[in-house]
Amino acid sequence: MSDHSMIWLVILAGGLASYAFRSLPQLVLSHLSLDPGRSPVLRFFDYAAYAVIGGIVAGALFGGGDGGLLAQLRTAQVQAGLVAVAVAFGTALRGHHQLLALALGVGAYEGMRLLIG
Amino acid sequence: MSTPLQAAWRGTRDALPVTLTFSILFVAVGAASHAGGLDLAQGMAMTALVFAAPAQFAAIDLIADRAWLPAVLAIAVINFRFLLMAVSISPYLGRPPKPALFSSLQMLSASTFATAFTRLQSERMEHPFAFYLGVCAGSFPTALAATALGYFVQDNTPPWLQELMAMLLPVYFATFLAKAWPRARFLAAGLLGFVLTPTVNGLLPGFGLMLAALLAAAFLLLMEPRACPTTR
Repeated sequence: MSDHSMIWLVILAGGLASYAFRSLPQLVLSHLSLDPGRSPVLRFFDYAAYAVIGGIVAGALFGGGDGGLLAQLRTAQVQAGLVAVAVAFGTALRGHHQLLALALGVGAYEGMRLLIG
Repeated sequence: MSTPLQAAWRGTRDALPVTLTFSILFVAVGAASHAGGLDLAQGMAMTALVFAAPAQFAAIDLIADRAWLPAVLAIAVINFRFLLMAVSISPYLGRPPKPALFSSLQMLSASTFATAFTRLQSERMEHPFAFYLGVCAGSFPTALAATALGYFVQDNTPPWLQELMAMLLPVYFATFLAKAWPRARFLAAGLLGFVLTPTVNGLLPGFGLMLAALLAAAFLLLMEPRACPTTR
């Protein structure tokens, strides 16, 4: 089989696997009647979802660098990123608008990059 | 009272930082596709079907080495996290027509999930599915267009802009975590996920996000106060 065909096979197989992960839970859950407020199963997945979002933030901060976690913590980019996330998180926690929190976070990032390189 | 269109527009507005980031990120995906030997249709099909930049970058690298099976496995392992995201968001999407629901699930990504979930979970919306579609409308077409653009113009984005855009989403998603307040347990879940994911990912690359989330959720569910038994 030509390389061109093999690339298509990879894309289709990868797409099929990705779609299965995205849609299987809906197929299963649509047959169950779970109350979002009370079901411990759904509370479990609510906790998991917030943990996933925290993990996405961490993954975006630490994921791109080389070396271990401690080595990445020493890089200026990660340090500036941590400050930016903390500023945005704190601003949103105080009840300010998300876009203001985002702007302050990004501003803090740029400021830190100017300060520490 | 709101209409489905208003809910969708709100979702698109909420997704604006995602739209901005995707407009840079997927240009890089398109450029990598070109460099990795994919033609334009294949590059765009990969974005449409896989719709996850980390999985696409990994697969393109492997495709360039003609490692076909590892490329499929890389996509499957990296996108396995969508299973957990789909389980979490499904109960909050309401009961839309099945064809619409199952087509829209293709647009579930880490970014569309994070943007839609916190809002859907914390507010009782009249039209949750329309809101989710609005988030996707701000993200999915942008990813497709940027992939095509990257294929033609290559990746000429200045490094400082790439770095800034890479920082935009974690900063934005941190504001979603803050919106969990005053529901301290959900906030704790977010913080546990933040702390545990890089550590677990170091031990089991590719599975950190999912395993850390499951660990955090199990811990928090166990820590919930038990209802007092009825006394007679």
